[in-house]
Amino acid sequence: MDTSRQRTATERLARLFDAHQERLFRLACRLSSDREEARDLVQETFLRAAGRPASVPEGEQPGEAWLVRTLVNLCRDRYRRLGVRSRVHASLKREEEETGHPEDAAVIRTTVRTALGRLAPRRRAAMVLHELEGVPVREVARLLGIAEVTVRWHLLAARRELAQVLGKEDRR
Amino acid sequence: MNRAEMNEERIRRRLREGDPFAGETGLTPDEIREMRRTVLTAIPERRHRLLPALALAGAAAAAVLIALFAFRPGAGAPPRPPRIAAVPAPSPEPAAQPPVPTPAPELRGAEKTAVHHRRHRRSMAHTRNDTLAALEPSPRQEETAIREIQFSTPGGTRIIWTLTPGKALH
Repeated sequence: MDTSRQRTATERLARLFDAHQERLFRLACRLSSDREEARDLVQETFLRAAGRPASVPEGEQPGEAWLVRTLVNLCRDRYRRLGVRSRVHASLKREEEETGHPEDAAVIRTTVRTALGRLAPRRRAAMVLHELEGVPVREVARLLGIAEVTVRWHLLAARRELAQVLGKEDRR
Repeated sequence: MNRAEMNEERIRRRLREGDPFAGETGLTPDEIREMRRTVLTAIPERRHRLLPALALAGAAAAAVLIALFAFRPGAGAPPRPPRIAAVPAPSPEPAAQPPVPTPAPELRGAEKTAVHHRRHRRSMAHTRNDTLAALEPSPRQEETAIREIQFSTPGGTRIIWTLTPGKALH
């Protein structure tokens, strides 16, 4: 009985992994400061699912939403623990000094990453999903498990904060 | 570029220009394979890790139950003293009956009447003495009387002690 249940859980987790690992890694890259961190976040998300298979809802879409929410929560934990804002800002300054060409693509990427890094994780997730992945507001709300009006409020606040940061970076 | 100029479209364009994922190629097949194996083998490991946690939780629950049982209200109150009643047990020997006077042989006339009165007085005295003797327990009877002590515990168990004089506790 236990063996068959475990086999079912393993098969289900394997299906979830194959279906969503690519998308989760893309999202993790946009939510984290570097590739390695994104990779760790994806693995930790699936390990959470492995640790509590019963907590992952049945079905393709609910399962995907659960994974996205878990990923965003993990980002939030790291954000609080490691002080991502200051770390990303320091990384940006270092790269700027090294390159000395503010219009380089890498610098632009770092600038945007810095700007996104200043946003709170859920707000950042809403912004990334809506603006960079083109996910409609309703879908963002479903994935993050919050109301549509909350998503709109997060997007509005995120644009305001990004305008401030990107405006400052442009003036340098 | 100031805050007022930064409208929604420009932010969107700027974000897409500097998309952090733009230069990424995704996870390599090796990375995917390794991560997949790590994740899928984590299910039984995690389940095994639950066993000590479950054992600890069970022990904690048992300790709480024992503590609740030991320190429940009224547990520390002194037990009620047992009710003791001493009842003399019925003696195995039947009570001594006064002797029935045996009929005297028949006599004649005045002699018969005098003898009768004498006998009657003697008989009455004898009967009175026998009755008094029968009512008072003899020292031998007191020694052989069996006594019972009955009492009940607070829990309701009824205990009867039978005290036999001939037997002593060693």
